[in-house]
Amino acid sequence: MSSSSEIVLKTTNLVKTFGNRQALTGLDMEIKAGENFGLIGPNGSGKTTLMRLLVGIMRPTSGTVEVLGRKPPHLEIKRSVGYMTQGEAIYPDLSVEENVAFFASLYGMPRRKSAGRIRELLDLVELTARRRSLAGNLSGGMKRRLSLACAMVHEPRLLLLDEPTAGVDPELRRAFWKHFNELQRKGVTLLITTHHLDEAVHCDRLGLIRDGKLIALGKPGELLDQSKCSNLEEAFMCFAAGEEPK
Amino acid sequence: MIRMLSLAERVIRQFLRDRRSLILILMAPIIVMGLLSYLLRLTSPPPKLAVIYQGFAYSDFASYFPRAIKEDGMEAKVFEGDQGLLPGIKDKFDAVLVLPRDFLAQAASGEAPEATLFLIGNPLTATKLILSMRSGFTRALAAFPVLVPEECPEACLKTVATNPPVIKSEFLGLVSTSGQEYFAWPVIPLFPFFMAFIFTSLFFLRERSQGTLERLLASPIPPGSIVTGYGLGLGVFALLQLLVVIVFSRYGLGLVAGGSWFLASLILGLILMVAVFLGVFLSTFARAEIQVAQFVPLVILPQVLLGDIFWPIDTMPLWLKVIAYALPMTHSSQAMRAVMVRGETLASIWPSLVVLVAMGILFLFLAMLSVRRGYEK
Repeated sequence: MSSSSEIVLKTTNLVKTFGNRQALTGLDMEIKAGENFGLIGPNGSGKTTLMRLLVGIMRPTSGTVEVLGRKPPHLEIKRSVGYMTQGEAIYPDLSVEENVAFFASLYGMPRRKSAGRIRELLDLVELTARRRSLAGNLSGGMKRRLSLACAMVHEPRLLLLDEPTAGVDPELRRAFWKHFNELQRKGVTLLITTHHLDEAVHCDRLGLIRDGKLIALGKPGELLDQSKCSNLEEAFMCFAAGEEPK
Repeated sequence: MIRMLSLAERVIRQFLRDRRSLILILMAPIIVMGLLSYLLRLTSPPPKLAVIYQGFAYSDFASYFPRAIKEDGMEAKVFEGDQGLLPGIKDKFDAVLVLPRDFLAQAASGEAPEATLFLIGNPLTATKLILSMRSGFTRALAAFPVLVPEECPEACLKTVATNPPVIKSEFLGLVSTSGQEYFAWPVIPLFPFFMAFIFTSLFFLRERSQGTLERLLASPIPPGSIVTGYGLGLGVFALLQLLVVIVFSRYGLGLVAGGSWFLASLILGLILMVAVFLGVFLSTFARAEIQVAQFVPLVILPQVLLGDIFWPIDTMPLWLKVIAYALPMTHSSQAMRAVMVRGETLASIWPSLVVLVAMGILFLFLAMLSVRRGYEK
């Protein structure tokens, strides 16, 4: 298990531009092993771009990214990181079980070994009863659960979850966060993006992002203290407006 | 009515916003019909005929006959010898006519003289050549009594006119005299190419749009394995389709296979590979299924028209030849024809295979580079 002081993810002056548009502007952040880090910001603030830079799908325009001590894209990062994309990213023409088995095979898991893991995961995301259903026939919430199972099948050390609770009903959102906290207890580091400010309380530390800029960084309580606001939604608005803390 | 018009308006708006589709809808017929019309109007060079006279190449008849057929738009070169000359000269001519030693004697005796025409290459050219030659022969023989009076007594003057020569024709090195194989075998690679290309483009587009490609790229599978994995998966169905095509061609249409099945499979495997890699590469330029459909007039039809399947490359101008040789279908159809129609071996088709492998590697490389494309926009 990683020591809690180990930095598993670090970005330094990270810039990403698409043509004339700057998606990320000089992002500096660090996440320690075993942390549950929440990246919070509105749609279009650069969260997904950051995720794609972290897994190596995109290359930074400038600045550096380090994940598990290596520069993405690196095979070791790919082996140790679980990535749940913002979309479902599952195969609608495969069954629930086949989807998870397919992603297990991408990580080189032998079929015999993965069978037990798949059962365990489907129990966890409460899809055992639908294991033979085609993924395309599942409800939106079930698809998100399946997507999460696919991201966790290889027991990653670091989970990057891009808006895992977007479009998910409150009951399922609660179940998701309960599960994320369980994973954290098992030593998994989590980076979770969301635009639901009420979910921030589940995280150890938060990064508030807007227009590609990290406008605040700290524990939820610290951010409230700094902003002198009663809730994170107000705090976000304060930081976003560039107001000096009261 | 208003609802229907609203729907129509929505479709019109969609097209107007997808300028590429709009331009293609308007340009594709012009490109394809223009190319087709150009090819149809291309004038082929005069068919080239070698005439082998067995023992009388220096006779007056021998020198007159080539002039007679030149009037019909053919070129002929005279040789003295026998059929043994065929292997050495066949590559330079469309056909070789062998006139036996007793040809003139047969004509003089009042019998219909016999000659053998060995046809090489495109049966369409060969057919044209046979027709032209019949009229040349008639004219030459009409002059025959004047040309060689000592060999043609008065009596034969009438018989020559009523007994024109019998020309036995056979396709030199071709597996069948019907000529259908000449076109049918080179068409077969089109099936795996078309299927693999369109399906790969569509599947890959779907991988992108449903987000699974993003997940694949974040997993330890290298981009090259993603692309080749697609090739293997589609290859199973392409092979199944090929099996149906080949069995139907062989037993339904009665096509004769004149060469190695192993080499034919190798050619089909290579064109399949090229199609998959090209499909992945080009799919990155499509944002919707409608844009994949645009690849048919842009990518598939030129291969049909310029791929040396129906229109011989030799008759094309240089600029069109350059385009034709840049198309994978040209190399697969030429290799397929060489193997299954002329029974040639690896020794003669290896350059085509090398080109297909090189194209495969190039498209694989481009496909690997382009897999991540789309995320960088």
